[in-house]
Amino acid sequence: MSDSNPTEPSSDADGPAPAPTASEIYGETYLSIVWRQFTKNKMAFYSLMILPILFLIAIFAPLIASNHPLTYYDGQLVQFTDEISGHWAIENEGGEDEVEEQFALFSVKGVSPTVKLAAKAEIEVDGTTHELVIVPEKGDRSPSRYRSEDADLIAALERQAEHQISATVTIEDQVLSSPVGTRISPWLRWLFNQAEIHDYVFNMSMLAFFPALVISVLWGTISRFARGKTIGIFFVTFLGLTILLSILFLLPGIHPEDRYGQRTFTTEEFENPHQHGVYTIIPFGPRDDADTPSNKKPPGYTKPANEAADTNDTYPHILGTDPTGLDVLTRLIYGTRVALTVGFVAVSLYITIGVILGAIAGYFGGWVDILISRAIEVMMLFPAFFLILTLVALIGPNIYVIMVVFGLTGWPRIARLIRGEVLKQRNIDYVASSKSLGASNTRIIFRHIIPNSLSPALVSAPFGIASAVVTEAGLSLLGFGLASPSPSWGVLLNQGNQEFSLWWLIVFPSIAIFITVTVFNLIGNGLRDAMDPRLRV
Amino acid sequence: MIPTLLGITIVSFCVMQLSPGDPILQQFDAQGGQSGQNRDAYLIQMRDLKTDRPLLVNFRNYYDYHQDLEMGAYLFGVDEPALVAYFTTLAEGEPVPEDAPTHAEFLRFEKLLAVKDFEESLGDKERHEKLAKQVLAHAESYFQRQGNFAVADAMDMLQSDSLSANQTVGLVRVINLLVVEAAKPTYSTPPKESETEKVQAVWDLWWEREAEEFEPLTATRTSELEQKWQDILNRTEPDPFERFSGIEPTDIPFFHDLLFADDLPLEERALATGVLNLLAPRPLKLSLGSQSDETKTFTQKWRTWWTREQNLGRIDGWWPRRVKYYDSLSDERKTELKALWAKALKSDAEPPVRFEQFKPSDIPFLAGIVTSNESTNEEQSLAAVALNLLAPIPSTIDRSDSEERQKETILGWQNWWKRQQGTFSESVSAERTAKLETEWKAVLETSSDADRKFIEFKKADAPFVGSKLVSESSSLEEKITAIELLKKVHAPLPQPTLSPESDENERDEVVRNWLTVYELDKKTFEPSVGGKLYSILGDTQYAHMLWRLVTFQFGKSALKTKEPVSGKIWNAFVVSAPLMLMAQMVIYFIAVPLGITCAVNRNNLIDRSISLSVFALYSMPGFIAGLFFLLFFCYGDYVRWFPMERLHSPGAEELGFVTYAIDYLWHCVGPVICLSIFSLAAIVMYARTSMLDVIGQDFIRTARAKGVPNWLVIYKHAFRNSLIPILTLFSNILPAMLGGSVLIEYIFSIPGMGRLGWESIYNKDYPTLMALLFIQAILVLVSILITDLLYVLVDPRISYGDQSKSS
Repeated sequence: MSDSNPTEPSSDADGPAPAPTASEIYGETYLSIVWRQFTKNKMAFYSLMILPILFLIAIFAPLIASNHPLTYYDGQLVQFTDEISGHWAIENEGGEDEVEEQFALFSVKGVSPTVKLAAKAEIEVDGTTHELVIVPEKGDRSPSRYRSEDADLIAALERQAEHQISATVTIEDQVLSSPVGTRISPWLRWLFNQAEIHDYVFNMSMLAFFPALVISVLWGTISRFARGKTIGIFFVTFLGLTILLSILFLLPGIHPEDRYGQRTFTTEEFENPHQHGVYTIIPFGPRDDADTPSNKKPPGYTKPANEAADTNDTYPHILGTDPTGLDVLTRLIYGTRVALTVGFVAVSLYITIGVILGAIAGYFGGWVDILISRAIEVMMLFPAFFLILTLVALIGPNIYVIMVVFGLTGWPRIARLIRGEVLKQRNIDYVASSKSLGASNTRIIFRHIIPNSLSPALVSAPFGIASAVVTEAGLSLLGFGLASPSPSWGVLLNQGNQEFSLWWLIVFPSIAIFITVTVFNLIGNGLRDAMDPRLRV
Repeated sequence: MIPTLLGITIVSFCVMQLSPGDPILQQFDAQGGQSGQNRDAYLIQMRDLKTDRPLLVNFRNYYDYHQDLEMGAYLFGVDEPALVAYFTTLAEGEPVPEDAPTHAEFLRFEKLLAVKDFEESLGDKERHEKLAKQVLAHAESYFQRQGNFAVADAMDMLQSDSLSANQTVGLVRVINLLVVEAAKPTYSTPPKESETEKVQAVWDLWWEREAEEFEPLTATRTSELEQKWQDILNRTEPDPFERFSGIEPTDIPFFHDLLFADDLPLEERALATGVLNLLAPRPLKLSLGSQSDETKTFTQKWRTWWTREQNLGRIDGWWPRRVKYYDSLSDERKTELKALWAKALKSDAEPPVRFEQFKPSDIPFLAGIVTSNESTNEEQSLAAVALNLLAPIPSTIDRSDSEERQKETILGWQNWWKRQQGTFSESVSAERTAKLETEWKAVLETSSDADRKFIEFKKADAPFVGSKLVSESSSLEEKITAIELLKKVHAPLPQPTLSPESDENERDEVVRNWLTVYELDKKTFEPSVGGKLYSILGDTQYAHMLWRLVTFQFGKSALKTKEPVSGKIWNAFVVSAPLMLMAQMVIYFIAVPLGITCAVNRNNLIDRSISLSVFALYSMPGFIAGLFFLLFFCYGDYVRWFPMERLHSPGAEELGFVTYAIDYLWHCVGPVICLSIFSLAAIVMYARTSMLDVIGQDFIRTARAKGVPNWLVIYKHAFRNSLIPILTLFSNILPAMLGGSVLIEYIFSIPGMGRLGWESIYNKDYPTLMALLFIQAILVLVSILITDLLYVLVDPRISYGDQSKSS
């Protein structure tokens, strides 16, 4: 936030300024001083440059890694004929005792989990063709059995000595309800169908990013009002568009369904170039990659072509896979979303609580102050991590619970800082003057005192984010935070801790956590030095 | 200090309220709550922690329970089909039967129970059966939560003449739910003089009824017993069955007299009740059959018996008492047993064949399975069956049991007999055998239990009965009778259930028992006006918790081990404290010099390199450091310098002191590094800053101007002054370290406080969790106090003695 506004005065100070700017008339603003001081600290400045990269990774994660092809052509599947081997059996409807209705059951062998058989097939036995109907199986995407109640077929089968059958099956695809023979884009549909709300919001922000960029650049060049405020306008439009899209696509019936699970191509079809999907850079999914499972594979592992069932399957797992066969790099990338969400939401929650409580305690004094101060004292006595761990375990492990619990336990530190600052501020003349002007207490606190005493809270925010990231990872490591399908760095550490031979599950998430924490700590250091020169080391 | 303590208890209390409610109700309401506890364990925990009381204000002493009790008497008095029929009449708006409560009354009661989806279930005829079960479970839970407060009203109702038979049965059941451990047949350990009255009253009532059944002892037997008694007093075997061997049920009058003799010391009287309790059948019968005999599986019986035995502390539980008779299993045998167990689980052979390869010495393994939290119900019941075959005293036989179950029990007794034969006399004389044979036949012909009691059967006759038990020609009935007789020779196992049918005599007896119990405990059931007033605030969940926390009584763990929580925490603390102390020492002895070095060499290469590496450490979470340490120094084929887990090598107890200490330190390296890494970095940075602050001040310049050498300036003038801000951090480090230790101890598998916290969360052991949270807060509080005291030590200007001097 702090980097957006102050760019204007500093850039103006360098170039020739024909008209008097605000800074020349009123002197330098506080924020621009802070910014100037901040840029002097090289490490902090570079960290601040890394931060947008982290955010871009989080926002554009689906563009970097996804097991859903951006697009693929589904044109060749209308009909195909194939040799399918399997075996058949005759069974009765009502169990063993009662002979009600006989039917033939065909189990088809060698069906990979990615392949879905067509709803209807035909089989040729003894020169006559019979129709088979697929047996739907609950919870299974790829049923592998056909049945038929055709008496002729049963009779023909009973004449055969072997239960093994190898026949020509003609499959006519009628499964896809979307028009066959068109391009479909599973990836776009998938953006709207996310298991977690934060993933969904991040996806919406990805959709909003470029429109917001275009709007802000255009506005910044055309409008006089907006000149020099491009970055600020970008943030505002970006957030606004994200919220708008998120709400819009939550409306029932608007967002498209994710039907990727119903695709019908088989290995053989990849010889046909039309069948290839266009994948993202890393073609693996973060949480449910049933298509390409290769468990516990080390970094750089590539599935041999004869084992691969799909085009994206022969792509190397750059950082290996976890015990459930999910790609580690993909999970690291999506883990950025979890880390940043937990960090920013939790910290803004507890800063809000802390600032309000601290300001009330400091401003009113008396028994209010005593009460809040006692509460602060008591809360600070509990070891934070253990308290959070207990609460999260009791309420239920879930990213939102983690954020809220972190927010509810972190406020005392902030409240104490703000209280001290407010105690100083309320004796300064401007408070007395606004009181004499008849301003209400609420106005004095929120309009005058809080903006003036906010800096200690802001200084501790980056450190708070760093510790929130660490805490979330720690909770997941213990098994009380997020659980396995959720892509979180801590979950990877947890899996690595179970089995040390999977070293890549420990090393890479650790590095990710280390970098994030370092970045936030450096920013925090820089901010502290810039805002509070007395504390400068 | 005191408001802060109070605040800590309030926070602990709030956290405790988050723990899930009645697990059984959750199961009934299909919320999928699975807490790994059975009902008895839960009840014991609930009453132990007083969570059946209201949260903050308790007006239950002023509440009129008559209506509720009437409802309870109806619900528990009728059988389930009648209850289902009652719901049907309710749903259809038909007039209810005469003795049943009206619709309005029931709805009022239902509001108290808060059955989930009650209206919908009532509307759907299909669900009435489930609804009946649900309502019963909720009512059970409701009455269990009311506890003693409703007893006075219940007794009032019990004495009234208007009760029908069904209502009496129902009311007695309700009272059983309300009161825990009403009749006290034995002293607790250690015995207390105040208990004498209650214990004597119980046995008095019993004796009044049973005295005729015992013939007066002959003079020779009395003198024999007197001698034996002296002998028993001198013996020290903890197992009562061994200690009291040679005493027969016919000797009860002697021990009864002992109990009521005034001049005997308390210990002897307590011992006498022990003997009575073992020999006599249940002294006071307070229940009219259990509610769902069919659903009570064998496992539950076993577990109920188990938890109750443990809870009563009567003989300190079956297993802990016996555990010393069994050598701990060797590792090889354990792995063997695991394989055997897996095989037995899969096999579907008859129990004796299935458990053929298990030996009596494997009992620890089986007992472990029964008591373990992790084993499934199926495993536990199987293990209980196996125990029944192997254990010294098999379970009792019940004629109402299924045939299969009876056969199982008979097998158990047969095995027992084969093992125990040696302890009885070799054979019975021919005349005696002939006499016994006739009596045996007479017994078999009578069908009532009462007659069977009078068989003249002595311990010396055991071989005869044993032969009947193992003989293949004897019928099932004969075998059962044999077991019943053998049971008399040996102490009976407590029987958790009684037959559900109860005649009028039984009812009268039970009602009288209850009234006696009530008279004894009137004070607790009907408190005085002052007591009632006190209970408004004093008998609430919060007040009880406050008292427990303030007096450091943390109760027992919710796990099946039932260890006292304080002991658990102390054991963990003893492990954690040295680690933390070492970590603190490492922090201060390394960080402060480093920080000062940085400050002295300000902005040159040394300062920069130290600052940079320290900053990297600062960003390194302790658990990641731990994982890296394990990965790179303890795991793999090449670098295995340090052990992976725990604080001692296996078998370290046998090492000498020096090697033991070295082994310990060697194990400590990893955990201590990881515990200290974060705070170390912070302290280096603080030390550097505060040193720079001090160095910049005037008095340092003055000292230098005086010509004091540089090292002396630093260590004499600057160092002490720069210590103050660093010392403040001592109390900041501790909470971080306590919290962080959860992760570090989890990673390194160290059985310390953090690991205990993790385990108690994992096993839903709320008492331990709460105590841990509280103790950690207290530790931090104490550390803050210590810091304040350290200030005075370091800075003579600060003084807490005189308020006028300090600012």
